[in-house]
Amino acid sequence: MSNFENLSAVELSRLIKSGEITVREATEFYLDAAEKLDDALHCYNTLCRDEALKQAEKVQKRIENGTLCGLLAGVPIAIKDNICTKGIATTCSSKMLKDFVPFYNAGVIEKINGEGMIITGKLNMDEFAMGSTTETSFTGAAKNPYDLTRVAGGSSGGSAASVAAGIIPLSLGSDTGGSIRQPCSFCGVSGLKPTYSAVSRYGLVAFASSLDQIGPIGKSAEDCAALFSVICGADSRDMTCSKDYKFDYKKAIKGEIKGKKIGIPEEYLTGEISEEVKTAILNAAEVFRQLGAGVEFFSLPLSEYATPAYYIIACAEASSNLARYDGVKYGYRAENCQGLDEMYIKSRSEGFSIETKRRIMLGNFVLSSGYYDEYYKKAIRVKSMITEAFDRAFESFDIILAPVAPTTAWKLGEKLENPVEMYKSDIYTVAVNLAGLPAFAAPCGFDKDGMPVGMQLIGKRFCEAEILSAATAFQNVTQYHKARPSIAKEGAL
Amino acid sequence: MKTGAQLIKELENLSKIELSEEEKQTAQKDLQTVLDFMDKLSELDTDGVGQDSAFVSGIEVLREDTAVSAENPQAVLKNAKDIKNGCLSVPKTVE
Repeated sequence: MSNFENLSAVELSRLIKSGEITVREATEFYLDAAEKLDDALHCYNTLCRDEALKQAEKVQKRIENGTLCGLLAGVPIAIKDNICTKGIATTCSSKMLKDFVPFYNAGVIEKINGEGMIITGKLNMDEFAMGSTTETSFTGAAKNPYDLTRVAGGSSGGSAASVAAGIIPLSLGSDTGGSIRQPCSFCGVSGLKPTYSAVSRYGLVAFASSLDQIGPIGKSAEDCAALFSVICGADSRDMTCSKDYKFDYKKAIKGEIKGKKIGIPEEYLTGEISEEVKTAILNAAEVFRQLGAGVEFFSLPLSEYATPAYYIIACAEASSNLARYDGVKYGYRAENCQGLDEMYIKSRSEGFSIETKRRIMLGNFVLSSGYYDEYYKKAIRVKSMITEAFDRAFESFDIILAPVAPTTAWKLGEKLENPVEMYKSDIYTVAVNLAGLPAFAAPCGFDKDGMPVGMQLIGKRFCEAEILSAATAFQNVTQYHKARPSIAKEGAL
Repeated sequence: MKTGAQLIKELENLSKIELSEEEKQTAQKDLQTVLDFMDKLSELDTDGVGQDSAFVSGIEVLREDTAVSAENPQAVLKNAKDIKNGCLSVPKTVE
């Protein structure tokens, strides 16, 4: 078999375990695909050909002797470049960490290695996960495979674009305010932002510690469910990680939606949303109705306050988390500094992009004396109110259906002048992070230019199986998740 | 509220960052735009609301106080720019 593009990741592993293809064949296919297309796409910061092929041989032997037989054994995967991988550069797409090589694996990487997956490399992202387009990357922006003049989304732009382009079957991203869901929506792939605490953050370079979550990106709900089953679960090295969470993979892929109650927030379908995105969401709602779910509109209060509250909290936490980058123990160190203070200031000023510097300064502002109560304390209380608003909504509904972004992917460079315009585009995603809820993004349409539109299914805490099952039901009767950009069509690779 | 330039200088100091002249001009303009955006929250009455911590409740933070040896202490230093006698070397710290 020479082209694995139409196989799901789970099917690919099945064929590997049955001996019809080898781990090496699968790994080489995706490495070759990356080498062919990535000059145009710039999804990868680091491609690890030699290491991946060595690992493929080891995993092949363990599959043959029966010591590796999991759902995704032998499947190649690429990792967002803010997740620590031992011996492989982890740069966060920043000059500050361009030479940083971790001496340990993140908790999720230990699990992926334990499953027998093959890491092909590290993926491009917005610097330190701060951005919605991958344009703040020190290495240059990732491109949208559907239109190379448009953004891939962010901050997990490389993670989403690589799956959309067919150069990797699965990837890991991270989501603090929409950074898995929005690039998935822009690139026409599926991705899960898990419940806060469902996945260990040990080894994830911290942006906002009360909001960050690592999650899977793939071509379907089934593939995302499989990868989530590998990475979720307890880790004593992350004190916020749930000790008790058990994910029901079989339930997640059952495709059950009949009798479920789905709510659509009215506030999300007014205001800045484009007509094409609105139409796609309403069409998705009709599909769920035809499948036997009850779908109705409801009012979700405080929607307009989520984005300012999010940016206050996220910047505050980022200013604290990024204080460690001082040039002392690791990271970029400026040269010819006369004293320690000058070394701190020059290293940070030269090592960070303007967006990162902006967020650090904003974070210090909202935490500083005289402004703490008015901004940070206020935002924390608004976070509580937003969480309660969602909890009240879930007394009436099982799942909330919402758009991911008000528009489809915009042109590169279009939103760099005014940071608030970029921040406002996160309007539908940030509230989910504030409330700590799970949300699954999946493609549900295209605009007139052929750019993908995404929906998100938001669930109750620890109900990933329910939202994935609903998404599976949707994908069993629609074809949006099977679409491929022309760059990835058969014969192009 | 301090003037834009004064505030930027203070935030530079807190952040241990020095902006270029061009970045300072942009930062002053952007800071006001972002603060206007964040000021939206002042519309809400939040007196007596919820907790004053960003973290969800119910997280158990305590563990047994057991010592664990690091696998490879030298590995920690591999990313440092300048090592002397097993120590991190930095510019002069005191005058």
